[in-house]
Order: sequence, then C-alpha cells, then structure tokens
Amino acid sequence: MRQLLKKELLHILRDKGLVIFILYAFTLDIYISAHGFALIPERVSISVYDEDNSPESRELIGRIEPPMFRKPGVVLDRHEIDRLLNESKTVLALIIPSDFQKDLYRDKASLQVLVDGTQSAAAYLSSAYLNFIIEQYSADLMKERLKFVEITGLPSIDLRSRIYFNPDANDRLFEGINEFFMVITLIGMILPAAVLIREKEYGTIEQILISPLNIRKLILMKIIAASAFLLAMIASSYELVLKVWLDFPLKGTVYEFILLSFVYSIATTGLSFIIASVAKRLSQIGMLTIVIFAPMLLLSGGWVPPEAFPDWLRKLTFFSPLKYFMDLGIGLLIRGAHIELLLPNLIRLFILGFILMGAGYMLYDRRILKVE
Amino acid sequence: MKRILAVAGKEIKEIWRVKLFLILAFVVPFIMFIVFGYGISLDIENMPFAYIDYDQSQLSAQLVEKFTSRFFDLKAELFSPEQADHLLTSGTLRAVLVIPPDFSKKIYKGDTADIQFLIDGGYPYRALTIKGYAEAIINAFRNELTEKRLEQAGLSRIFGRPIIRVETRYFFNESLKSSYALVPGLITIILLMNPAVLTALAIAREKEFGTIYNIYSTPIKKWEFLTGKIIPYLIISAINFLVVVAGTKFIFHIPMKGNVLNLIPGAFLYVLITVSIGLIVSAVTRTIVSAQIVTIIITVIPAFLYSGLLIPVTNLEGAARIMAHLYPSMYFMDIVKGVYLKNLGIVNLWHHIFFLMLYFVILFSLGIMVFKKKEG
Repeated sequence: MRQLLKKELLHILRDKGLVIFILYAFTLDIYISAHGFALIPERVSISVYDEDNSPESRELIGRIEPPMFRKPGVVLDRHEIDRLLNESKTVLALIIPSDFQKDLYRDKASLQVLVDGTQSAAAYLSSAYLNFIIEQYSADLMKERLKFVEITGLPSIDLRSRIYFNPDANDRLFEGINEFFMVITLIGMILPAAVLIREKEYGTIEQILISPLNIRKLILMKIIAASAFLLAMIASSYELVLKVWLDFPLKGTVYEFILLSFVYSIATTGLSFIIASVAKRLSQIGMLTIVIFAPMLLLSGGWVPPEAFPDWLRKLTFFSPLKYFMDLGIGLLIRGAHIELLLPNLIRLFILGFILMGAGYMLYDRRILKVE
Repeated sequence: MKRILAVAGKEIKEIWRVKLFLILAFVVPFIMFIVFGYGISLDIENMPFAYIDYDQSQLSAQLVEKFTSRFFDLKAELFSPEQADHLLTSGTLRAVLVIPPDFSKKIYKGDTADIQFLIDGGYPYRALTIKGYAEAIINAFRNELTEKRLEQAGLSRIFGRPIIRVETRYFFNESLKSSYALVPGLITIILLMNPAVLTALAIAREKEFGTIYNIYSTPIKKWEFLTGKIIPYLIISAINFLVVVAGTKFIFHIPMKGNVLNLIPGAFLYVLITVSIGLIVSAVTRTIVSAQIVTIIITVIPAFLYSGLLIPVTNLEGAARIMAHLYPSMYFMDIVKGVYLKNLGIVNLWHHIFFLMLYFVILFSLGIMVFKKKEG
C-alpha cells in the first residue's frame, strides 16, 4: 500500500510540465492577479479645464486627490479636452465655467463633467466619486456661509460607513484570494484527471487490468496521492504566498482552510473522474476542464453578485460547488466567520461533492475499468 | 503555392477528425464569450439590506424609506448589533443601517446626528459601490431637510445657496452601460487566446507524435510549411470572429456605431499576430502540454491586464504602461472600441493598423527563424 502511494507521488513529481504549471499557478499567478486585476479604479486620469481660475475653483480642483484620482492634468484649451476624450487619453474631464465663483452666490453654479464611456469599468465608480467630491464641497461652502446667518436647527448628518472585515476595501486582498480559489479549483480538477489518465495514455492500464493488483485500490491510491499533493500545495501557498509574500491579513487558520479545501476537493475530484472518462489524452484534459470550469465560474458569484442575476440563473447557482467554496472561503478568510456559522454551507458542499464523486466514479468505472 | 495548400488541406482534415479539437476551436471561445459577457457586468443592484432603528421616529422611518430603492433590497428590521454582525458575517446581508436613539432630536436641534452604515467588505468593489449609494442617499436627504428648514425660516428667497449643479455627459456611451465597452472588448481577448492556443497545439502535436520528421525530410520550405499550417487557424478565427460579432449584437444587444467592415483589417492582422505567437511557442517547446501551458501564461494575463479591458491604459504606470504599449492587444482594443463606440473609420485608425502590421512582420519572421527544420 505505502509503496503504491509512494510510486504515485513520485509519478506526479516527475511530470515536469505539470509540476511547473502547478507551481506557477500557486505562486506568480496569484501574485499577478492580486496586483493587476483591480476592478476598483485607482489613480484614474482626469483633466481639468478651469476657465474661472478663482480661489473656489482651485480649492475644488485641490480636492481631487489620490488614491482614486491621479493629480489632475490642467488643460488650457477647451478643444484639448475633446481631443483627449476622443483619443481615450483621459477617463474624466472637469470643465469649470468662467463665472463659477460668481454663480456660487447666485444660486446657479454649474459644472460639466465629461466621461469617456469607452472606459466604462473605471468611469463608473470614479465619476460617482467625483460627483461626491463636488457635493461635499458644496455642503462645506453652505456650512461656511450659514455661520453668519441667524438660523438654528439646520440638519446635519454624519454618515459613518464602516466596511466590515476589509475596512479599506482592499481590492488586492479580494482579487488575490479569489484567484487562489480559482487555482485550487482548476488544479483540483486537472491534477487527479492527469494522474488517472496517465496509465491509459501510456497503455500501462491494460497491464494493470490483467495483473493481480486490485485496480480499484490503485485508483484509490492515485487519488489519495493527488489530493495529498494538492492539499500540500494549498497549505504552502496559503502560508508563503498569501501570508508572507502578499502580506494578507487572513482571518482563518490554515487548518480550517485545509479542512474546507478537503471537502471541496471531493467535488472537484468527482469532476476529475468525469473528465478522465471522456478525455483520450493528457492534452485533452485542459480543454475539458475549461468547458466545465467556465459555467462554474459564472455561477460562483465571484464576478457578478448573484443578487443581480435573473431568478432562474440564481437558482442554478446552488449547483455550482465553486459558489459554496467561494462563500465559505471568503467567510473564513476575509469575514473571519467561525466554522459553526459556516457549517450549513459546508454540509451542502459535502453533499454536492458526494453526488459528483458518485456520478464521476460510476462513469469512470463503466467507461474505463469495465471495458475489458 | 501547391505545397502550401497541401499542408493546409492536410491540417484541415486532421482538425476535422479530432472532435475534441473542434470543441476547443469553436465551443470554448463561445462559452468564454457568454460567461464573461454576462459575468463582467459591474452594475450593482438589489443588495440585501436591513436596518436597526433605535429612534423609531417619523424622521427615521423616512430615512429608511429613502434607502429602499432599486439598489437596496430591504430584507428585515433588526433589533440588536449582534444580529447585524451575525447576518453580515454569514454573508446573508450586504449592508445594515443603524439609526441612533437621538437621531430626530439631534436633527431638529441642529446637532450632528451620527448614522452608522455597516457594509460587508467580502467583495470590495461591491462594498465601495454600496458606500457610494449610501452617501448619495444621505446627501439628498440632508439637502431636502435643509431646504425645508430654510423655507420655515423664510430664508429660501433671499439666500443664494452654493448648490452646484453637475452636468455629466458620457461620451460615446451615453447611458454608461459597462457592457457596451466590455462585451466588444472580449473580441480582443478571444481572438488573442484562441488562435494562439490552437496554433501552438498544431505544431506541438506533430512534434510529439513524431510526424514532424516527415516534414523535415520533404523539400518544402520553412515558410511554406508554416504558412500552410496557419491557414486553417485563420479560417477558424474568421468564423469565431463572425460568431462573436453576431453574439454581441443578437445576444447582448450591443449597438455598433461604426461599420463592421472597418473592424476587419485590424482583426485579420491581429489574428495573424496571435497565430504567430502560437507558432513561436510551439517552436521552442517540446510537448503538447507544455506548449499549451506556455501559451496560456503568455496570453491570458496580458490580455486582461494590459489590453485596456478593465484598467484604462492611461491609469497604468511605469513598467506596466510600457508593457501595454509593447503588447498588440491595446491597439486592437482601440480599434474595436473605436468602431463600436466612436464610429471611427480606417482613416482614423490607420496608425493602429500600421503598428499591427509591423508587429506581424516581426513576429512571423521570428517564427520562421526559431522554427528549426532540423532537430538539434
């Protein structure tokens, strides 16, 4: 038994292409995603045409600051603004008309904000934020003036927004962890499938089928070896890449996460069996994985909030193991939820995994093991 | 010429025979298109939300009503902070509004009333958007109350208020729908990854199965072989291009302001480039699996990071900005967005097309150079 396990582990380690891919996925890929895949715009380019050039207009421009915006580029010609927008050289443009300062006392001040709609991903949040800066400025001016007026009981509300679990809304943390989950899913599907198919590809499966060795025991060893390798990779990536390299403030412990990953790996291994029964060669596994992975990704809620889905699509999310894994993983690592709180979803994930594993193994058994 | 066609014909037959390859060629890009097309919507609505009202006044009820909008889906009234904590931690709620006991009293007295708004930070983009909505709602509410108070005091006539009207205009995408820019942008991503992966497979397969030796021993020239080899992939990509353009119109209902014909020269050159990337990768790797892996690594990440799909190139800095300019995706992305959203023609886009042409010449020559017709 132990010999078999050792042999299978060695097999995995000897497959250089696969090992390099797995190493890359669990290290650099996560790092790059954390640093590049930001949805929250940062340092958005903005150009300002200040026709007024008054203390008020300059004060307003001064409020446009990093991290959301880069320092506004001051433009001296109205046509220059159009050119910048046409060529997508700036995402936002603010135009302050010549009598802005005067109008502030005449109840009719206005500003123009021009947005490059072709860069909608960055434009959406940043233009809303610019509006907020302007409103805030207007409210501050109001307060200033009302100091000199005899009036009491003016309403004043202070909204204290507290973002739980991730107070700075750190996008890196989320994108890095999100990618970590994707990598676990992908490798969790590819690795067992690759291990299962190797004997078939080299034709050694026939030898085993006629040998006294129990084929089911061998399959079991293969799966254990693959899962052990996967869990070891997850644990090291968790400790070294997420915690040390990326310096993420993770809330859960590595043990809890490994437990969660283990339950999840039952589901992904089930999918692996399905892939291994259909694929003819190692190179086909990659393609099949993508075919299964893509809809899982859509239904996971990581990209688009399920709340915004149409109803029928929201119901389908209950069949995506990745959805439970994401909810549980984010619950554990970012929200810091206790394992008891996560238990209902963990049980659902386990049941789903059990069904997938049963279906996958039956298919594999029928198509591969019983052919002879 | 005959030899080129012979290679192309043989390649088409081989592709046709392997059904899984056909799936990879046509089904995978289509699934990707659908998934990302529906998936990268950035519009946040119907967020499950609850409130705790310690004040229980008319004013606090008004405020709660303001929050119930298409952005927030009111789920429940809660009665303790522990309950709120619990529901946020378990991911049931995205936000909780907490109104303090002295809320209305403070408002009428003119003191500052503190409102707490607790947001689930599990998904930062959503959290910030939710925070923005809440700030806008509170601002509007306060302005309304201020107006009322000024009116009561008889000041609204004589007082010039510094209220700034902001006139926002969205260029090229008047309703600022994120899908109008993102979905066409996917053409760039799909025409980058798919042709590159397929071509890399094509040559790696000959190498792995040893059939490449047949080629080594024939009088065919390197460029003839490679040209013949890529023709089927150009055809596949042309079909995919049409499918994605049609899908953009008929599935996602994205309008195209310009003429589709203006897209074609750029798309053709772009596919030639991505096919050449596949050629170069397969020339330097030995097995199918490694060719696949290397191609995915060098295409996927730049496709998302440096193409301008999510992050505008003007927001990048330093090395990332240089990378974006060195990679062909940015130029084709500009062409796609130009045609879809800005109604630009070839005349306005010629320097992008010129750059793509230059890029292709360099890459294809490089491909011929690194492809060895002899082993060792």
